[in-house]
Amino acid sequence: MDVNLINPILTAVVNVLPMIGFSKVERQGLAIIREEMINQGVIVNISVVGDLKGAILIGMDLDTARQVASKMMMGMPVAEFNELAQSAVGELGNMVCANAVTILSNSGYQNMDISPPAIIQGVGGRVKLLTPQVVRVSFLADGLKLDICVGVV
Amino acid sequence: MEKRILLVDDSLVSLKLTGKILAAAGYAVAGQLSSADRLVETYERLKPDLVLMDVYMPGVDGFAGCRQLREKFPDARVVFLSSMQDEIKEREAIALGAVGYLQKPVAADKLQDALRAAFGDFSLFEALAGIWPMFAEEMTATLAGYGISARPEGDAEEIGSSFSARGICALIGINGLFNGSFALDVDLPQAREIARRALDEDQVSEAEAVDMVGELANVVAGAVLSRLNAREVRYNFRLSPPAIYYGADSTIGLPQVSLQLVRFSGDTGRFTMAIGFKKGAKEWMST
Repeated sequence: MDVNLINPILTAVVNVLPMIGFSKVERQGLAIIREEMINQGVIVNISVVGDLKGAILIGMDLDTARQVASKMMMGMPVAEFNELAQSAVGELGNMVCANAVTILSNSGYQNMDISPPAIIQGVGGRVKLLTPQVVRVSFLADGLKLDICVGVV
Repeated sequence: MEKRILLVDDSLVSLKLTGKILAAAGYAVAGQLSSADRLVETYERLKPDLVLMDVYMPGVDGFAGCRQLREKFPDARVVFLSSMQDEIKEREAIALGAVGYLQKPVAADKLQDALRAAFGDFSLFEALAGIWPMFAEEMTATLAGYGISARPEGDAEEIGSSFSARGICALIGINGLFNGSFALDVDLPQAREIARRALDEDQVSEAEAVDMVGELANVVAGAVLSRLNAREVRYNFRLSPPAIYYGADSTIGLPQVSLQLVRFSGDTGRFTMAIGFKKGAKEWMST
């Protein structure tokens, strides 16, 4: 994939995380990964169709997922990563991807659409995207680590 | 009473072929035009139940003809039949109010499906509710092509919004009039066996087995959704490439989706698939 495609998605992360109450969003390293990714606990999977096709994944550990869910729900404590919490984390994925699609449409990628978020729980599970390259960028949002993986062509 | 159809096509051969299919399917040809130049007057005179029309024609083309016709007769049903088919053209056809878009040469069953849909005998809602048997049938047919016999163990179960994946799980996003997801979960030994038979090789690697599940999910979902699109252009279903999860038991949750789970058993073992659309889609359709 064209590594430049990653920028609108990173912009979307930086736009959206403060909206849900994260005050400090720092970008960490960028890596092109050719092998599979490992699930650290929870992955939000959003499929993309249109001029670009593929998937955008947001990976995190379970504790981070609970804290993200809590942020999404205005600070409500989240002890268990239940259906409500999953839905909240899925909504974060939705917001990031919808924002990214809007930015991409301004750079000429029209007709893009995203599918409903899937939340995959299972520590140590592997993920394979059938795109030649996947770009991973890590973020620290108020100390919580989020891995954004993008595999689109 | 048999439905009367007005054919518009600049190719005489195409007019004849389509006319024969229509007659065999119990439709009457109300009239024939070789361009859309006189479509509005002819429609007014013959009052057909539907116009089946080519897109690219000399003079007034199919899209312009459809626009002129529906300005004067907003209820006119138009189905396009063209040698060129692409997403942009389909979207343009939907915007013009067409109720179908078929690619030449059209098979008799596809043409009949499109006409039934155009006459409202096949509602979008019914098709959505009954989608799992189409997936099941396609899965059985695709595996049969690899020399594997597998059938659903029973009807689909409504399982809410999550399921446990025990093997290699390929996840595909569906976008269109309704957004949803399709998942196929096959354990590794079985995925190896399917890959071995599909590739006709004695040994397959784990990577090939993993890709096989993605390919199987892709082929099955692609075939079913293309068929639905051919029946009803407004679906405009598109698929994302699969994301494949494997190597650990996982729970897959789709909080916005109502899932139907279908269990299969066959001569390579048991496996499951899940298909679902966003909650609210049915409610939206029935309003």
